[in-house]
Amino acid sequence: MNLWRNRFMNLVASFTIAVSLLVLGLFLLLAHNLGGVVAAVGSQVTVSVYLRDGASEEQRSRLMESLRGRPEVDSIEYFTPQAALEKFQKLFPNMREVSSELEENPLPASVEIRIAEGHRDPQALGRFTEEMKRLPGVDDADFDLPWVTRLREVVTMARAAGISLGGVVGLAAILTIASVIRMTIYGRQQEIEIMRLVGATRTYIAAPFLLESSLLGVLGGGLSLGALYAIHRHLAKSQESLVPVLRELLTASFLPQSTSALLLLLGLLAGALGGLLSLRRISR
Amino acid sequence: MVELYHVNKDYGRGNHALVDVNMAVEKGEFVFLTGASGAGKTTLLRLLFREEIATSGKILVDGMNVSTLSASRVPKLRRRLGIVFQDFKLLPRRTVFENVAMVMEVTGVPRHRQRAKTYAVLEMLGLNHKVRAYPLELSGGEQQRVAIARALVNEPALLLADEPTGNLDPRLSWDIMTLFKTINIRGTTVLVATHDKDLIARMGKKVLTLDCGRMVTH
Repeated sequence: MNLWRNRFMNLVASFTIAVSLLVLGLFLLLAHNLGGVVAAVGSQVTVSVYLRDGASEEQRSRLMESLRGRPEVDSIEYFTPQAALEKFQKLFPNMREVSSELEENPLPASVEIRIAEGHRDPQALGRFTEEMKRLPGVDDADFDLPWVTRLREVVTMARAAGISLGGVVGLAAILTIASVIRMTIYGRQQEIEIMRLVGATRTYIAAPFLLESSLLGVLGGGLSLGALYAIHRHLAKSQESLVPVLRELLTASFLPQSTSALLLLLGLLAGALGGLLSLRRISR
Repeated sequence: MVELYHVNKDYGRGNHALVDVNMAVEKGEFVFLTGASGAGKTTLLRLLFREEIATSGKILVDGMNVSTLSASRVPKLRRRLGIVFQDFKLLPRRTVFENVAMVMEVTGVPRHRQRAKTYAVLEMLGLNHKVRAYPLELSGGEQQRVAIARALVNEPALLLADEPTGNLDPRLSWDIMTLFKTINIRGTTVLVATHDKDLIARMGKKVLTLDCGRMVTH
């Protein structure tokens, strides 16, 4: 078989495909795990509603009641001024002294609303918060989202970086495959000429080359997946190495099956495309 | 079987390979195409199996209009032809059997029929003892007979040969011509391009002569 006869060049071709897919795969893995972080953090998106000092018990219970019925609300928790103070002291132990020196608890009573999935985008949150502010007995309301949004942007960027970098290297890989197949075709010029003369169709002549290039592509895809998994496992085991965050993001979990399959598919496509490019060599 | 009407072939810049060629080869005929080197013999044959396309004029081969044939139908035309070349065009890394059977492999003939027909044609050409040999282990005459076997195995309506004896000595040349004669008697139309005047004279068949791209006898 031809694959074996030109094994060195074929290996080089598969290798370039593997490298480009590895670059893409690394970024996808980063984005995948970052996405996991975003989802985890996102579930903690809260809106804090601060009650007016003189708010009545009735206003409070009516507020709680109306909140429970809303689709945006996942769960609510009421903090008395005392509870709010304790929470504050727990969060900022260094400030304990300051707060204990205060004669009066400055913190208002508040309701923490955990926002349900599907209502966590900044605009919806903004609208919801504004609405909260207008409710009777409410002094103020706010949400802290900016950094979650920024994290989302990082995920998008990691993905985009992977796709564009992988794309550039991928293009090089396609061209490499094309020239490797072209060399194979060149080496079999005589055979192709005779096949054409005895009435072989173009498809009949081209099919083996296309099959070969596609195989090389899938092989490249497999290699990249293997390498990616090896890196993933190796980092998980080794103690030192890298920026801790980066390491965490590469080792938390591996790519889901669909993304792994996508890498293989991209390898196949790159191979097939390279093959098609080179087939223009077979005249008419 | 073959009809040419006002066929011209230019290779650009005033290089006229064929000029207003008209000719006809009837079904079952044996015809020689002759002329000096560069007279246009090879070009004319290449037009017939559509390796080249005529600049103008009309070409009919076995009922197919070659001048307007689309690229995708070229294989269909070639499957009706047998073509023999001066340089044999055999694959050195395939055995005699494989070289001949390839023609049917390409057109999807079932394996057992491939075997039967290949053995039959090789036997007819006296090559049955060379089935497992490789082309380079054979003499020139034997190699050309393998090439002829390959051209015949599909039972073509028309056999085209371009200087088939150009690489062979006179005695072998005569053997090959005798073979063509036999093939012709069995019903295949034969068109042989050659500049070997002695051979043509001894065969006593119809002769078409090209001179500088023009048909001079008819």
